[in-house]
Amino acid sequence: MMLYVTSRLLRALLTLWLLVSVTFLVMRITGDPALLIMSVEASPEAVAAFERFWGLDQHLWQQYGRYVGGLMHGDFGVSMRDGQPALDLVLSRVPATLSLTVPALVLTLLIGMSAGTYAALNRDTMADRLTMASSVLGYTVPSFVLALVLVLVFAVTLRWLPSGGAETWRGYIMPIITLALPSAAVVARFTRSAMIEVLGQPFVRTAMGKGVAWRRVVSHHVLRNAAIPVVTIVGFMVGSLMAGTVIVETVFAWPGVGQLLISAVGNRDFAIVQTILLFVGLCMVIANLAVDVSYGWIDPRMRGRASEARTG
Amino acid sequence: MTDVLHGTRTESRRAKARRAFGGLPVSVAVSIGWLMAMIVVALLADTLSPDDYRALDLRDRLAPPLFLGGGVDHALGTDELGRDVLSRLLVSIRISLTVAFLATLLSTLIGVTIGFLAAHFRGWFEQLVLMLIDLQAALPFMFLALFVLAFFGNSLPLFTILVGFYGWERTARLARGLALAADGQTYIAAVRQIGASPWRVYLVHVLPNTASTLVVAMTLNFPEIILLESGLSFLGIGVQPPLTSLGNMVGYGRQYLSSAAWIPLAPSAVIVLTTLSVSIVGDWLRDRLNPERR
Repeated sequence: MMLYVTSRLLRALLTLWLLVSVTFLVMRITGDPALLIMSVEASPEAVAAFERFWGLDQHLWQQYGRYVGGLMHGDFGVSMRDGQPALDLVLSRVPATLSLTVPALVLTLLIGMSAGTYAALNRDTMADRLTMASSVLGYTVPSFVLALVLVLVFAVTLRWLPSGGAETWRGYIMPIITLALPSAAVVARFTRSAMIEVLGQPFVRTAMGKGVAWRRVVSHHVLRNAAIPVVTIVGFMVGSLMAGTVIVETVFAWPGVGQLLISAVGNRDFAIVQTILLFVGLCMVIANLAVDVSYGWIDPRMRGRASEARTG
Repeated sequence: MTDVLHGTRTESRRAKARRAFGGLPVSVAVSIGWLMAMIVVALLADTLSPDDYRALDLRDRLAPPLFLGGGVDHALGTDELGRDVLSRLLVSIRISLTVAFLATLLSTLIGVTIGFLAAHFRGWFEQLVLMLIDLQAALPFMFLALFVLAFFGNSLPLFTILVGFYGWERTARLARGLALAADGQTYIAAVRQIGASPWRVYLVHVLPNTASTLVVAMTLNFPEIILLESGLSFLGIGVQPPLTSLGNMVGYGRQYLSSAAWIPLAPSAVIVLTTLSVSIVGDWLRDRLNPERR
């Protein structure tokens, strides 16, 4: 188990290092940031001063060293527009984004797993087909269309909910639903096929043959085993939730990281864009690491395999 | 007994419906029909559109569509600058589908090339490819796209190429796996024995034998690329005005949701129907080509 976790951890660190290097490369091969940020008519002296200030006149390796060293000390550069540290700006937006993504993740799992379980237990009935059809619809409808339809119905027509802003609790409802539904559709599909796979296993037949109550078979034998493949896509879902916040925060005027990212891209505020990219990468790496490690916890067979690897 | 009778009756009704569409399930037939209509629109957008999609008519702004009591000359109404929504929609379909189609081709090309190269060279090159695949899989593509667009600025060719990287890692992983599996087959060993060059082995023998799986992967990638393109354009960082695309129309029409909902809703409907159709056809193709699932 230790070996398994260590190898996963090393892989995660390697991925992070690659990401940092790729961001650095992209930032440097795109040309002279001085010319991008300053106007074309800027005097050569001004450009040189700018380059000295940002360390752009040094050798590429020195710049890379400075860059990585800075990141280690939490120095992600400053916003080129207003001079604030990029990390502070991004971190100040994180709570608003988390207040959407965490409830959305919970809602995703609740809706997705119960719909998938329900469909699997009622396989090939009308209810199953309806659930699966709405699941297909759920992930082919882009989140911005879903958001617009929700706004049109609940804000414009019915006037039940505000069309944007985080002032009252009502403002949270539509953004969270917009984030959760597309991922829930994927989870439902995954849960259904995992459940169907497990339902056909010999140990389910054994449990039923022993006379275990059907409810208990489902909750103790089927669900627990079906959860293993479903956990694998949680990492993927964290990614799609984060991508979803960019759209949702734009539509609902939400003061989170996604909105900051879009305005930074528009202003070409590189430090902010790069900080958010690294931040997202870090979140994804942690999520995937957590998924990998939790296998051992959910699935005792993985533990056995890992300890075999250690002794063998 | 009645159950059995009922069963055969619905079965035969379904069979009849299938026969009418040349043996296809109804949903698949309808999806193919919609996609063919979209292809025709993409090819003939200029001929089909009643107006120039850029033509302004400031005296006739936010005119309602035909079914909401509007005039015949603007069947889907006009937008905030008096431009004909139907014409803009047709041109948007052309641009969005062209971008998505080229990007899907590019993504498959990149993925298959890298996957085959990894399978051929093995060793450190394969390890490097696998690391890059992991890296790409660890990063939602939307953020990478935003990062690159922030640095390189935006133009239609650049944007198409960028979107063309979407999903390369899945295709590369798939192509590598297929090539490795094919390498174990006797016919590949035979071709190698005769002295065929690696080029010949991969292009003439491995590629045709793995093509069906790759085509299915393409049909599954295509709707996601449409969603990515329209999402980025919706955010205002994809296809830029004066050009128009489906997502771009939704993004700029969003502010008129309460007064002129047809502006964002018409392109939204096209996006949903198109991605839904491609998914239905893709799922059907996958089930047909995969003997285990038949």
